[in-house]
Amino acid sequence: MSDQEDKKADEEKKVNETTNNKKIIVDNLSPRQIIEIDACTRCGECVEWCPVYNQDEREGVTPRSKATRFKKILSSQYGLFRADSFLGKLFRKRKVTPEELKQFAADLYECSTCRQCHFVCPSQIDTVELWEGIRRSFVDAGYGPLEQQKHLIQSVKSYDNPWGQPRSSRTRWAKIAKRQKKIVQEPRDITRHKAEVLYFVGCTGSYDVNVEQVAINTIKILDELGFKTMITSCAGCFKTIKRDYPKMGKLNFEVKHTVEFLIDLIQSGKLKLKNEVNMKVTYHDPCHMGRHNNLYDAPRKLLELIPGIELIEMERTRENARCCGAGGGLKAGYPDIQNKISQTRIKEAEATGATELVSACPFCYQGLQVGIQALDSTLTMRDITELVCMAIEDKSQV
Amino acid sequence: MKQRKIMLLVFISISLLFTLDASAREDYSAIIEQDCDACHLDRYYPGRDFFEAEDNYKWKIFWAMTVIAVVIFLIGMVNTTMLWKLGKSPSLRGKLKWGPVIKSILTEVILEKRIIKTSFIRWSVFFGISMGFVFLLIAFLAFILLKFSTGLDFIEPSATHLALDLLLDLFGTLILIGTLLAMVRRYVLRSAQMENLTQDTVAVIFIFFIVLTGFLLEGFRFATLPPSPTTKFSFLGSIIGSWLKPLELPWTVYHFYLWIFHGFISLAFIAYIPFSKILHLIACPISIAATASDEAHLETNKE
Repeated sequence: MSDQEDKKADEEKKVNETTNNKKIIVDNLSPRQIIEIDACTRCGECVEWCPVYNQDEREGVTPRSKATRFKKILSSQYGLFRADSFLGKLFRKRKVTPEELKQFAADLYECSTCRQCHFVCPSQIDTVELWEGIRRSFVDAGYGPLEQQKHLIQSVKSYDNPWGQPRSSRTRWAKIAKRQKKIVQEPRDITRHKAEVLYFVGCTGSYDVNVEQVAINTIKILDELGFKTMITSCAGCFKTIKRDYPKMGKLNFEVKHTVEFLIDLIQSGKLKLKNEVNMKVTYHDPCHMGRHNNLYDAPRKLLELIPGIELIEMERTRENARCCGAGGGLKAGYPDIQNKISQTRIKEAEATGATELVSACPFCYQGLQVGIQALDSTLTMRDITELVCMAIEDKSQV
Repeated sequence: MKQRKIMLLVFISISLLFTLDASAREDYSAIIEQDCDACHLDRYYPGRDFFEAEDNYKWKIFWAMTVIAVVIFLIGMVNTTMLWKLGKSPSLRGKLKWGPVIKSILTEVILEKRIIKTSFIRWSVFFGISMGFVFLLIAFLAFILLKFSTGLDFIEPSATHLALDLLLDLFGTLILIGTLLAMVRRYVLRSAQMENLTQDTVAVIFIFFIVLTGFLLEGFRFATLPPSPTTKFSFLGSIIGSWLKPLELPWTVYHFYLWIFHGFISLAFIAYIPFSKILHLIACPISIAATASDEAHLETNKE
C-alpha cells in the first residue's frame, strides 16, 4: 500500500470514527422546512432547470433526490418507525449507512445555491434555505464540508476572509488603485472618520456553523460604527448581510447594492454620466442579487442610464437566468462542474452578439471568466461599475 | 366587489334551496302509511334474509374498517408530526401575513398558476384530482352543516338531496377526468424528467378505483330503481344505470359487495396518506403559504 493510500485510509477511518452511529441533529431547521420535504412531489420540474444536473445528469444532485433521501435519513433515525424501534424492526426499517450519509453530503455540496429550483417548484419549497440548513446539520455530524472546501473555513477563521489572505492586505487594493491613479484617494477608515455611507468591500461566509461568530462579530462592529447605509458590490455579501444577518441580530443600517446606490447618485444629480460608452452588452443576473433579493430592474435601469450602451438580453434572464456556477461552495468543491456551467452561460451570452458580458458581482465575474477562458471566447467580462466609470466625465466624482 | 358578488350568489343559492326543498319535500311514507323499507324490500331486494343481512353487516363492517383505517392514519400522522417537530428554529421570518397567505392559497394552491404556466395537461391533472377531492369534501361538509343548522335534509328525497347528487357527480367526474389524464401523462406522454415510482402508480390506481366504484355504485342503484326525472341530477351515475338496466342482474346484491369494496379502498387510501407522497396534500399548502408570508415580510421590510 502506498503512502498516499495509507493517508486516504487514515482519513477515511478518522471520518468514520467521528461520524459512526451519529444522529443527524436538525434543531437548526424549522418545522416548516421539514414539512417542505414532504411537500416535494418529485414532479421533476427542478430537474429540468438545475444547472448542476444539466452538466453531469446525476439524479443524486437533483433537489427531488435530496428531499427524498433526507426524509429517508430522518425517518430511519427518528419517529415511531426509526430503525431501532419496535415498529421499525417490525417493518424491517433499514439503518442509513455512513456511506449513504457521506454520499448524501457530497451531493448536498454539489449545488451552487442559485435558487432556480425554488422558482420552478410548484410547492414553492424554499430550497436553498433548506439545503443550507441541512448542510449545517451535516457539518455538526462530521460529514461536511468537503475536504476541498475545508481551507475556506480555516481561512475565514484565521484571516476573516475565505481567500487565505492576511488581514493587513484587506486595503491593499485601494493602495494599488491609488498608485495606478484609478482612484484619487484611498477610502477613509470609518472607525476614524464618521460617515453616513459605508462601502463594504469584502465578503465572509455566514451560515456555516464554524463561521457564524464572524457574522455576529461583523454585525456588532457595523452597528457600532453609526453609519446609515452600507453598500456592497458583491451579490453574495449583499444577500448574506441583507437576508441572513437579520436572522442573527437586528441591523440598524440600510443595506444597498452598489447598483442601487449609483442610481440614487445619478438621479439626485450627484453623479453625471456624460461620456458615451458605445458598447453592445449583455447582462448576467447574479443569483444572489436576482433570485435571492429580487433585484432585476435596478441593474438594467443603470445600464439604460449610461449613454451609448445597447443592452441585448440573453435567452434566459431574471428569475430564469442561468447560474455561473460559482456560488454555494461549488467552485471550490467541484471546479470541473463549475467550469461546464460557466461555459453554458458564456455560449448563451455569445449568442446575443454582444461584445461585453456585464454582471454586478465579483464572484460571478470570476466564475464567468472561467468559461470565457475555457472557450477562448471573444467576450470581455466587465463589472457594471466599470461601465459607470467609463461614462463619468471626471473621475474625481467617484 | 368580487367578494360581494360571491356572497350574493351563495345567499341566493341557499334561499333557492330552501324554497325548492319546501315544495319538493313530501312525506311519501306518511301518505301511503308504510315505512320506506317495506316497499324497497319487496321491490328491490332478493328476499328479506338478504335485506336483514345487509342491514346487519354493512355498517358494522364499515365502522370496523373505519376504526382500523383511522388508527393507521393517526399512527402515520403522529410519526410525521414527530419528524416535523424535530425542527426547532422559527418557521417564519416575521408574523404571519394573512393577506398574502390567503392570496397565495387562492392563486397558487387552488388555481396553481405556476403549473398552468408550464403545462396545461399537468394543471388539468392537478385541478381534476386535488380540487375534485377538495370541492367534494367542502360540498359534503357544507351539506352536513346545513342539515344541523337549518334542518335541510340531504339524505331523504328533497331538493337538497338532488343538489348534493349533482355536486357529487360533478366533482366525481372532475376527479375521474384528472385520474385518466394522469395515466395518459404518466404512461403515454411521459416526459424525460418524470419518474414513475411504485407509490405513484399505487396512488393513481387507488384514486381511479375509488371514483370508478363510486360511479358504478350509483349505476347499480339506478339499474334497480324505477325511472325518474330526478335521476338526471346524478348525470354520470344515471347514464351508467341506463346501460346496466337491460342486463337484469341482481344489482342490489352486487351493490352490497361493491359498497363494501368502495368503502375498503376509500379507507385504505386515507390510511395510506401519511406513508406516501400524498402527504403533499397537507404539506404543499403549508409551504406555499409560508413562502408567501416570508416574501411579503421581506418586501415590507425593504429598506
